[in-house]
Amino acid sequence: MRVLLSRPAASAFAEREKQTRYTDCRMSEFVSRDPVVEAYKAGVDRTLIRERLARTPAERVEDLVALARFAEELREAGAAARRTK
Amino acid sequence: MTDFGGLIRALADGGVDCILVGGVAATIHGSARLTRDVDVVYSRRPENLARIVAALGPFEPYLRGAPRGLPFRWDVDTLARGLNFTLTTILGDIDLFGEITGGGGFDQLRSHAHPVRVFDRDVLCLDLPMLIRVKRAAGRPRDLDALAELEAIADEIDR
Repeated sequence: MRVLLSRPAASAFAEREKQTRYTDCRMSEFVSRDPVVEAYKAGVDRTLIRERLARTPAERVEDLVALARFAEELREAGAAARRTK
Repeated sequence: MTDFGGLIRALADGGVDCILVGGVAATIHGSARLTRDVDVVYSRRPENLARIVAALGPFEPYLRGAPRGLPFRWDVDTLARGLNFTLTTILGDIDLFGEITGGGGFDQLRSHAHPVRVFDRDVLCLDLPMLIRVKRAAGRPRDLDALAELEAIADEIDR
């Protein structure tokens, strides 16, 4: 099995991610390089992705729950503000 | 707000054969996008349909967006007669897919799914390459942002 994760923390990273990742090929082999998608990719926040990848899958879904809760609170606050106008 | 943990625990505790796809799967792979529902591809085997009915039954599943009062029955016959169901429950929204474009059904996708532990349960999650493939196959303009992010995640993993 080829393990091509090459960052300094690759081994810990691969261990943490082994349940959800291929380790016998490069992920980029699955990327289309479609010019339209590539154009959209320019707007992707890579820093945010790196932060997410540093977390475990369980932590990522906890972040999703927190984000959904925050979005709901904003929605409710907006609705309340419109009612008091 | 969707209780992601509640829905996923219900499916896992009910022994339902299903694979997380869509936004929650993307989150598991590192997406930072907000999703509103749980999407799963489920096995169409009769015993599994019975498990789904039992697992979600307590949460009053109903057709999302349909007017109340329709003669919708949550039972194995209903699941057997349909394929893909967009449902709302008291825990939030869940989409049950018998098949997805570009990926097929549970049996085709099973080899592209890996167990992952979330919400204190072990569940199957579609792997990133297949998630990219089905997102691309769906071909929806509104998915371009999500597809770009998934491909960026793949790029980042290789860095």
